[in-house]
Amino acid sequence: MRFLIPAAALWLLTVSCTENFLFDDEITPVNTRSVEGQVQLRGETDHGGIYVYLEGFDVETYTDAGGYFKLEIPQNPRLQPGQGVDGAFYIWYYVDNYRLMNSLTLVRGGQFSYGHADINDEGRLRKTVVLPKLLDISTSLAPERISEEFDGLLQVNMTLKNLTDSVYINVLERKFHELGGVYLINSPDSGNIQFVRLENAANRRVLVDSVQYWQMLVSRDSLPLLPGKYEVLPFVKLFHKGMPDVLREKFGSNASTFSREFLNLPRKVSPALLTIGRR
Amino acid sequence: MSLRKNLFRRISRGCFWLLLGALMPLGAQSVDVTGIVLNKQDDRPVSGASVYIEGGTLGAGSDSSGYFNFRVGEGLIDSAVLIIHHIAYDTLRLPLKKALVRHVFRLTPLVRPLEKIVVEVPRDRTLLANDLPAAVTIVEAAEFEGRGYIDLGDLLRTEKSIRIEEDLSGRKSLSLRAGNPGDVVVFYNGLKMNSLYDNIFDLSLLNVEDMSQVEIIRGSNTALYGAEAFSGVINIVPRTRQDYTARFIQKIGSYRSGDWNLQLNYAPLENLYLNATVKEAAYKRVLGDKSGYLENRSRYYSGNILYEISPSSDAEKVESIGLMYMRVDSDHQNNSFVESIGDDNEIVSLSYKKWSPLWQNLEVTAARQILNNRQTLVDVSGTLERRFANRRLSLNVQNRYRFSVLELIGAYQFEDNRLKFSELRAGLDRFPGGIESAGIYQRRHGAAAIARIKARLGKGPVSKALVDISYRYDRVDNSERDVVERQGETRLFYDGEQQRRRWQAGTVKFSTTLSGRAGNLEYDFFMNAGSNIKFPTIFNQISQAAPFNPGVPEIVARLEPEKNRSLETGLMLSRLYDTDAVINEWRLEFSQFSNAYENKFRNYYIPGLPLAFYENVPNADIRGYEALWKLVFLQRIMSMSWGASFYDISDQAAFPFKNKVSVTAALNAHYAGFRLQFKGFYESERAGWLRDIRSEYVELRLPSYYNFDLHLSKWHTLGPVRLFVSLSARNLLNTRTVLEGIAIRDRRFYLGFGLEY
Repeated sequence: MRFLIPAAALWLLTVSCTENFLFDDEITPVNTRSVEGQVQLRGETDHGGIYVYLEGFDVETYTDAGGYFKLEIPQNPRLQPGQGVDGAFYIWYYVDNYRLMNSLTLVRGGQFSYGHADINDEGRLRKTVVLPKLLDISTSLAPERISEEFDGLLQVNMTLKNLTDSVYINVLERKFHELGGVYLINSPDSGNIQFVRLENAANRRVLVDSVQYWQMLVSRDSLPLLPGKYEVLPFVKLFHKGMPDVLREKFGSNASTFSREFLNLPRKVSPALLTIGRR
Repeated sequence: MSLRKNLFRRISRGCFWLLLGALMPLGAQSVDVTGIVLNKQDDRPVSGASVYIEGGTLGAGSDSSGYFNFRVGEGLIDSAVLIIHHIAYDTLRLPLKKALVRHVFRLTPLVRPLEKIVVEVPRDRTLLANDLPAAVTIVEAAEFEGRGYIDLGDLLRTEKSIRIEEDLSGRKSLSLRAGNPGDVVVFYNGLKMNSLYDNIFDLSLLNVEDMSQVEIIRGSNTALYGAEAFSGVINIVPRTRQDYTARFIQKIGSYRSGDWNLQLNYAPLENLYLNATVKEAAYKRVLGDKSGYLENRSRYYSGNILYEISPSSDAEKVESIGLMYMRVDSDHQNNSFVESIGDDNEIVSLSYKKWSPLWQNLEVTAARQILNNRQTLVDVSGTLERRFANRRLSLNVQNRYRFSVLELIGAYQFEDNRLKFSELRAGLDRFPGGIESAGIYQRRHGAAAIARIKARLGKGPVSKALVDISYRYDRVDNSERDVVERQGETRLFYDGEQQRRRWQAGTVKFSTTLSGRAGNLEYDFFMNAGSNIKFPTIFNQISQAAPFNPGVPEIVARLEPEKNRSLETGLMLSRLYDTDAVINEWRLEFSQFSNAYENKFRNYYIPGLPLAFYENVPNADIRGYEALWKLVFLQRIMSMSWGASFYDISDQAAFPFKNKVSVTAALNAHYAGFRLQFKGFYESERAGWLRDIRSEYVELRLPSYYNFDLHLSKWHTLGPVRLFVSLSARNLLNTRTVLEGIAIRDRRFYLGFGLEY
C-alpha cells in the first residue's frame, strides 16, 4: 500500500484528461442574423423593386418580382460595437408613390430576436406587408412621335390621381398646374438623361386631394437633338410623413429636388414614350 | 493526432478506469465513522466542527447539516479517542468504540450562539463576521465538489436571487436581486476581484474545486467591504487548510469536457501549513451545422502558506501570517470564424493577524492582482483586437475593540489601480470614433467605522438586541496617460490642467436585530437602512454623453456617482423537534427590501459606431420579496427547501432582462457516504426595454423557463484512501430555449471521480 498510493497518484496524473473520451455531443448554433418576408404593392402583379431598408444597421435590398426579400445583419455580433448591439430597429418599405410602411424588429446581442415584434419564430415577417398606392401618376404626350426637324411644341400632359388620403407633393410649377420640369431618358444606364425645365418654374409643395391635370409645353430647343426613343418622366416627389432622415438621404441629399438623384428613388410610374425619328 | 498516439491514449484511459475498479475492493479492514453534530441546547446542526482521532491525522469537518464522515482502520477501534471540537462549544471526547454505535453527537455551547441573521451557518465563518447583519446564503464545498459544475457561474445558476449571463466565449457575469452585474462585488479570500474597467468579474476564472464555500450576501448592507455593492456581495472562501494530504478529482462530461484537479496539503511543522492546487480543464462545443467549434481551455494554480506564530485554541487570538498565490490562464477559440480570447487572473496576497490587549483583532492584508484580457476577432468585415490589463495593489487594515456590550470596528482600505486598454478596429465601423487606447490610473481610499451594541436580555421573548451604526468615507482619484482617439489624435480625457477627476462621498448605515425564542420557536428579526455610492467606472467615463432628448427632459447625461438608498427587513422563524422525530426542524425566512437609485447609468450602443453612450435616470427603484422554507427530516438525513423571490423593477432599460419571479426547490439527502441532490428552478419572463433610433423604448420579453438538475455522489473509504464518485445530470428537461445571452441550458451529463489520501 505504501508504494501503491504514490504509484496510483502518479498514474492518475499521467492519465488525467481534459477531454471526455466516453461520450460526445454537439451544440446547436444560434444564428438569427437574418429576416425575410414579403411586401406587395396593392393592385399590382409585379412586386419587384420595392426598396427595403433596415434602419440602424444601414442594410438595404430590393424585393424580387414576387415581393420577397431577405436582409442580414452583415456583421458578426461579436464584432459589433459593445460586442452585440441591443435595440429596436425598423425595416422600412419604400416606393415613392406608395405609402411608406415599416415592420419592427428587436435586436439583442447583435442578432434578431425571433418571435418578437413583427418577426415570427422562423425569422419571417408575421404577415405580408401590403403598400397602398397613394398617387397614380400618368403621363401622355402630344405628339408622341416627332422628327428631327420638328419645330412645334411638345405637349406633356400629367394626371395626378389621389387614391387614398390627400397627399403633398413637391413639384416644379411655373403657374397653376403648369408642370415645370421633366426628364427625358434615353438610356438610364448610359447616363443619357436630359433635364427639361421651364423658365421661372419653382419648387412648390402642392396638395393633391382629388384628380389634377397638369400640362407642359416644351419647345424643340429643349428636346434632344438625336433621334431615338425617350422616356418622359415628370418630376413629382411625394412627401412621406414620418420618413426617417437617414432613409430620406439614402438616395442622395438632392433626391427631393429636380436633380439626377431624384431618378434613384424607387417608384411605380409609367412614363410616356417620345420617339424622335429621322427626317 | 496519429493513430498510435490515439491508441495509447485510449489504452491509458482504459487502464485508468481499470485501476479505479481495482481499487474498489481494497481496504476492507476499515470502518466508517459517521454522524451528525448538534447543538445540545437547541438541537441545531453544528457546521464547521472538527471531528478527528486524537493524536492522528484522520478526521473530517461537519457540513451545514452537521454531518461528517470519514474512515479509520479497524486496528484503532479499541484504543482511539474521537474528538469533536468547535470554537463555540465544549470539546467532546469519547472512545471511538462508543462513537461507532452513535449517530448523533451533541455539543454544549460555551455561550448561546444566536448570532445568525437569516443565515445557514454562523456568521463568524463569513466575510461579514465583523460587518453589518445581512441576508446570507452559504453554499458549502460538500454541495458542489466533484459535481458537474464547470465553473462558479454554473454552480450559482440555480440560486433563487441570482441571474447568470453567459456569452459564447464562456464568460459569465452575475447579478443579484434584479440588479446589474456591476452592482455585485466579488471577493476571493476577502480580496476584491471586479475589473476596474466595468466593475464586473468573469466568474469562469475561478476554480470551483478549490473553494471551501461560497457566500452569497444579498443586499447592500456591507460597510467594511466598500460602498459599491448595491445589490450584494459574493465571497469565495478558498481551501487553505484541509484534513487530507492529497486529493485528486477527475471529471468528464458533455461537450467533450474534462477537468482534473490535484490538491496537496502538508504540515511540516505543527504550526505551519502548506497547500497547493493544480487544475486543468477544457471543453469543446462542436457546432451542429459543422461550421466549426468553440473550445475553452484553462489552467489553474494556487498555493497557500499559513504560519501560526502564536497558536491558540481560541481562533480569534491566533497570531498568524499567511501567503496566498493564485493564477488562472484561460483561452477560448471559436473557429467558425477567427476568434481567440485569453484571460489571466493572478493574485498574490500576504496577510497578518494579531491579537493583543491593545490591538484586539488586528488584520492586515496586502495584495497584488493582475487581471488581463486579450481578444482577437477576424471575419470578412474586418478585424478587432482588444486588450485590457488591470493591475491592482491593495492594502486592508482592520481592527476590532470590545468594551463590554460595545464593539468598535475600524477599517482602512487603499487601492492603487492601473488599467491599460486598447480596442483596435479595422474595417468594422461606418463612423469610427471614441477612444482607441488609454492608460487610466486610479487611487482609492476607504475608511469605515462601525459601532455595535450587543445587549443580552436574558431568557424572555427578546433575548438579544443588536444595534449597528456605521459610517464609511470613500475617495477616488483618476488620472490619465496616453489617451488616443480612433482618428489617431491624442486628447485630454479629464478636464483641467491636472487631467484628473476626483470623487468623494460618505455613506451611513443603520441596522438593528432582535432575537429570541418562545418555547421551541426561535426568531430573528432585522431591519437595515443605509446609503451606498458607486463611482463612475472607466467604461462610464470613456462613454459619450447621450444627446439631450427634449421628449424626456428628466433624463440627462451626468458623469456623477450613482447613489442608492436601501431599506430591508427580515424575519427568520424556526422550530426544532426531537432528533428522533420524523420532522426534525423547519425554518422560514422572509425578507423584504427596497433599493432606490439616483443618477442610475444607462448605456447603449448604435450600430456602426464603436462608442458607448450613457445617460442617467434620476430615479429608479427595485423592490423585492424573498422567502425560503426549509424542512429537515428523518434524523436530519433529508432536507427539502423551497425558495421564491419577487422583484418589481421600475426601469427596465436601466435593469434589463431580469425576471420578476423565480422559484427554486431542492431535495438533499445524505446517508452512509451517499449524497443525493435534486434542484428544480423556475424563472418567469424577463423583460427589457430596447431603445429605438428615436430614443423611444420597446419592450422585449424573453420566455419563462424551468428545469431540473440531479446530482448523486458517494464517498467510500478504503483504509487511508477515500474514493469519490459522482454523477450529475443538468437541465434534465431539454427545452432548447434559445440562448439569447443566458447561461447554457442544454441537457448535460458529468461523471466525477475523486481520490483523497
